[in-house]
Amino acid sequence: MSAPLFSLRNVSVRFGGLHALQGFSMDVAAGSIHALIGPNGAGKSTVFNCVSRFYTPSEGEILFEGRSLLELPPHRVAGLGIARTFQNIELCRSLTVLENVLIGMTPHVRGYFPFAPGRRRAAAERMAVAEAEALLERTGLAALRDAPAEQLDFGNQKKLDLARALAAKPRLLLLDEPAAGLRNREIAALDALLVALARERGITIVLVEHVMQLVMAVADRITVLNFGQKIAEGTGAEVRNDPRVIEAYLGQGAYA
Amino acid sequence: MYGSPSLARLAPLLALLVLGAVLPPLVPQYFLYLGNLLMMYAVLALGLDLLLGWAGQFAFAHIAFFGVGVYATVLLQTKLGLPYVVAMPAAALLAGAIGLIIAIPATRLRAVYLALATFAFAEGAQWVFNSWDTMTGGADGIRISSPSLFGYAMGSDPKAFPVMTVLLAVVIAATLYLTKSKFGRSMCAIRESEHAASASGIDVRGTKILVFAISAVYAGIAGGMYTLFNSFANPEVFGFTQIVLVLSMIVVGGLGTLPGVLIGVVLLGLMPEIMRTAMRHLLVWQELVYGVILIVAMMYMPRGIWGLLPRRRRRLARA
Repeated sequence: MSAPLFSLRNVSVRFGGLHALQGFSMDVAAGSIHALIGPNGAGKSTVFNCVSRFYTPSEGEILFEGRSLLELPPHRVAGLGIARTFQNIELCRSLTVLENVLIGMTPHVRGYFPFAPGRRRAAAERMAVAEAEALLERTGLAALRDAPAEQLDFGNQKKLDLARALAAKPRLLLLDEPAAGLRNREIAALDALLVALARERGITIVLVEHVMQLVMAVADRITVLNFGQKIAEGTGAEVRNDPRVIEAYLGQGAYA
Repeated sequence: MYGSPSLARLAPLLALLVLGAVLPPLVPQYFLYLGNLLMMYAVLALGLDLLLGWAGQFAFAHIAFFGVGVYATVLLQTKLGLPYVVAMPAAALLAGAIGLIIAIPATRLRAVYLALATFAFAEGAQWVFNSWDTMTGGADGIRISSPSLFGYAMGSDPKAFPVMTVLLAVVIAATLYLTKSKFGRSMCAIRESEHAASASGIDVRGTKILVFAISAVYAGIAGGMYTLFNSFANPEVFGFTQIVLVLSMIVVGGLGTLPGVLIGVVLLGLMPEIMRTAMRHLLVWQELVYGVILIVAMMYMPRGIWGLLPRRRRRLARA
């Protein structure tokens, strides 16, 4: 494996007496789809929240292209090319679909400082809107452009959460349970979309997911977490037959 | 939708300036006083709305910055002999600077803790206004000698009126410029989901601090406007009733909507006057009346009066 695009080295996170992550390490190869699985409460979302800099690990290092993320303030992470979705869908609920995508484009829209010259700022805004509309077209949300996010059905809210993340033009995309609550047909579409993103656009994807049908279909590599520790890592076939994984999911004695 | 203000959007501002120039000789002084009062409240409310309606921060230090604006505008003229055109912006910037200093610790707090901390700051400022006799005149208040502007003495409603329209127009233009932009979107994103905002590359804390300071500058400008048509101020002007009134204006009108806030300012800004003239016996109950209006508005029209209007028309107005 060439140098990993993204890695966690010996990361530990504690909440009081609870070890959410304990000496956890993981390397993600550029251009791969890497699934992170494990029972509820295993620490999967904690990994993402460390990358987003919502939590700071008590030990360890998180590297993206060899650069330490832990030295950056939270809002700088997106600028490096790391975007994410959220398990519970975090949208700006009263804003429109288009506005949510524009928020996702923040690292690329110029004129952050509100006192930028009006005309140049207006041109930057027009370009941003055109780009956001193109993204809505691709993700099948174009018809809902001006609908408030809160009026979308669950499947479309998930799509919008993903579209917002894609708007940042990420090189690393962290997806937190993108298939949860979706119907079979929608999962098949998601499957195709993830593969297209990774293979055609070269986006590296880390996928936290419980829907094994999706994980087994798309993941190049799978890391299994339990109680904050890595218990297995490998391809789908390797992980599926690992006794420790079976035990974690089904309980002791299940494989005997 | 976003970008630089179009001519069509600026037309109402030009109309405001024309009214400012034409009305004073034609309209009874009392109505000009009401106009001045409403324009001052509009600036105060638009400033609080940036913080509360746009960025979603429940902060109540606003009225203290209004006080800083009034006292500093007066004192910079009387103690340092500065002209109004210098004293007023300087006072607004002073309010902004204090806002910035307050914001640095305050933006670490959320929701009810932020509300309590900023409320405590407002009470503290009230205490300073009451106690610093040599500067503020204490509880007896401070006399405002009519400022002069390029040789024209202010201090009366007809003379202040055109200046007030200019200041309000500038503040409205600034509000449009600030909100119809990436900065406006950043404020909304912070209000709706700090996690999504942060993961999208928005500097949540930095934006909050900036909004806090800008909002304080608005309050400072409103303070400078107060001194144009009033001859006296005491700490009661910056009390709890006032912050409840301004809060009611933006909630009733429509949080985070410029036209809504202006509607709220007109409706609620006239309430104390109506109570004073038509319903004298209600005056002692005025805080209760605002409180009831605020609660009813929050229960039955959470998006305010502006939110009740049909969406299509609102879109047209925004476009």
